[in-house]
Amino acid sequence: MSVQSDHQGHAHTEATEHHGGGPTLYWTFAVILCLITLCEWMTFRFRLQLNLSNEVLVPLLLGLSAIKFTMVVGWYMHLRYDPGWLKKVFLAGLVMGGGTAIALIILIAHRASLGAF
Amino acid sequence: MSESHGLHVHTVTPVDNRKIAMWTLIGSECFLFGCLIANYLINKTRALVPPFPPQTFNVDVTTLSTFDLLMSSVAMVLALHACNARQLRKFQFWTAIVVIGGLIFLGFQYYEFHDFVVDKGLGLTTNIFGSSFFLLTGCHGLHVTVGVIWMSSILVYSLVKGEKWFNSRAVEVAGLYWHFVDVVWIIIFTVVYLFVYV
Repeated sequence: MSVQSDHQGHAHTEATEHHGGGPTLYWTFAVILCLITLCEWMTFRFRLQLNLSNEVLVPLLLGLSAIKFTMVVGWYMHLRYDPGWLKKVFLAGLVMGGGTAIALIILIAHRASLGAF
Repeated sequence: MSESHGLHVHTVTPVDNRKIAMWTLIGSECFLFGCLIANYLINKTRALVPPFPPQTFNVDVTTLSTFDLLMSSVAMVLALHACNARQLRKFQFWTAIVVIGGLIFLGFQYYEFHDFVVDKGLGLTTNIFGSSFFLLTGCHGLHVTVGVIWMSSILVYSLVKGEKWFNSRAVEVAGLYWHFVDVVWIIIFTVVYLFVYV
């Protein structure tokens, strides 16, 4: 880490801090994130009472998780305010990582269905 | 990137190269954790000997640790905001909260691992579920540990240097890393813990 004060950061770079939201927004998001986590826990805890099948439970929990993911990456990490090509750097890794994970799961499930495992 | 006497960062892009490097690292880390999560999902039902996932997890405790990590993420973004506003005491306070939040999370993880190994008999080599679970969560815990050390060093540096030290870029890059660790846990919490009966 540089010991210099932050002159270098302002000279040639964009400054996300000027339009990245303030404490009010961050606290509002914190409350929403906590409420979503509480919803996730309640969905898990009361899934039998609510008679939730896996076909409902999986998309519901993945959807809630995706909302939290988007809020943290978009606002807390300020990606929403960053240039488009920087978003692509992140999305490239995300798509490749997610795609590899899905491909592996499908491949192994297919091999298992053929009795290979 | 070349930095001449610390006054200017020369870059061909409008974005600081440290930030580009961190986003590139985060992109590649997505690949790493994607593979570890896939490994876990493939192997969690393949264990031949107990304990199996439903007998092992305590989702209530993990929910608390998830709250803790989310709150440390809030503290991180507030620390960056204070740094940008050049409010030293606020910055140090929120950075300390980030460090404490990280340490509490690691405490939760230690408690969980201890419970699994000692009380439930699930070790790294007990079965393939244990191996893939400890590999995934252990790798995440290692990332949290690195983040705690990184944030602690920033805190100590700001305490030593005082007002002379305000480096928004260094804090922003460290913050990106910390938020990413939180984002990974958001996914792990869902696909590992909440999908335990799926």
